[in-house]
Amino acid sequence: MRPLLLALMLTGAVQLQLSAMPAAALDGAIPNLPLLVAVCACLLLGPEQAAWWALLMGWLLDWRSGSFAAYSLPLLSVVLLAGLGRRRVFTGGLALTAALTALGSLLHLGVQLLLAGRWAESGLWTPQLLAGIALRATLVNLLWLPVVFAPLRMLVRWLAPPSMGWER
Amino acid sequence: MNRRRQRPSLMLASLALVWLASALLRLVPGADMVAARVDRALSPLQSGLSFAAARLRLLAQPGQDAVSLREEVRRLSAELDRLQVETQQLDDLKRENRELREQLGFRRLRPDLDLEGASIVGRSIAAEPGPVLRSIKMDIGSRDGVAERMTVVSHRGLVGQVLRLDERWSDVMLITHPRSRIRGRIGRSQATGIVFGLPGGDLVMRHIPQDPEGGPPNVQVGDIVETSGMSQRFPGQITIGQVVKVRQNDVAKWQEASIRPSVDFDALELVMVVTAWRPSAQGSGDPGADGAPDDVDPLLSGDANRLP
Repeated sequence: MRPLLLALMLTGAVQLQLSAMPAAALDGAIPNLPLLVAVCACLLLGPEQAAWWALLMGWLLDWRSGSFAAYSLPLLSVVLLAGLGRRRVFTGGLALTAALTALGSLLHLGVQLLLAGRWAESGLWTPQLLAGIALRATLVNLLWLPVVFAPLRMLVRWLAPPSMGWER
Repeated sequence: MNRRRQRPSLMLASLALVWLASALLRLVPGADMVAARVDRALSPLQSGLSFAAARLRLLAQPGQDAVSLREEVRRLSAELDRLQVETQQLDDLKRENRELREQLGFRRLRPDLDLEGASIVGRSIAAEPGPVLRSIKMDIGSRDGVAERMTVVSHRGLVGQVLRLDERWSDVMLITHPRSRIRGRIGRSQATGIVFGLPGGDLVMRHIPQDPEGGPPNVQVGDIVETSGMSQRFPGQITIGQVVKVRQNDVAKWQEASIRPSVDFDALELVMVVTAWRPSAQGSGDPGADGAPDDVDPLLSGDANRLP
């Protein structure tokens, strides 16, 4: 994909995340488009390319938030996880993507909580509270996964027809 | 060739003769009776023909009706679409009008707060994507009179504090941000505590003094929590939320309460920035006088504009 087109697409995804996705929040949990894009890109295009995507989206979110590494680091961690779980054949399957999305959502939240943990008042961040947040974030991301996965897979197939597994 | 040219002349001549003969026939006595009989003989044929013509007309009519009905349906559909758009626009205007009226009502209720100008009313245009960090972006900035650390409110209550800004936009750290600490007061008992933001958008109030012996409880479910007015960060008596759960332990020094924010941050659209306010007599700058920890301004803690 051409770099300019790719940058425009990812910037659009980030803008969509910031402006439109809060309206799609379920019980306070906002679907995380950059995370979904990063996981899908990792499975469809490979971890190297997905890492660049994650980095660009993470930087944009960091810049928007004014918080250094608050988004880029969790997104890169998710790509690393998805890269580890990526199979060499049939990587376009929704089931594997869903499983990695669930794990990625937990990892993303975990890294963010670690980064924000220095503000935590002792005894405030209870396991029950964090489990509830993690469950909601994971479920809402899984609900939105097909919305991101299907168009991205079509785009990838349109730009580059799939090769056989052993050709990689 | 000559025969072909002569044929039309013969035909015209024959027609003229027939017409002349029929005209002369009317002058002949008894000719009317013959004509009447001919008419009578031909009448069944005429009836049949008119009946057939009428049926054909009836058969042709629905086609014309269908065409006109389709056009009518198309026209009405377009009209319906237009009216639906107008209804939606009216609904939006009604909702915006209601919110603005509520904001106006809030302004009238709080003459001590300087909420100058409609341009100060900003619209939240973006929010943090994750459940941990909670902030919003407004479409007003320094050119509208906004400055860092200004208080942001809505007619429902406290929203947050301006974290950073540009000429045209500003970021607001919500009170539900894990970094947020606000000195709050229970409206009923006047007991104070510190309200902390939690990941996920909840609030908890800590450091509430234990209930006095024999007296009414300092905090109970349903109590309204508002800003105390004791700090220099926020004006007093702005609603923060409502107590939904109390955790009390006799051996502990403090009580703790879960608070549901009064502002629905997921549906937040219009906010107001408090550009100036008159501190109350309670805002003596000695917020920790009762022994509770002070609500340290996170923006002054050395890492302003840098969240994690």
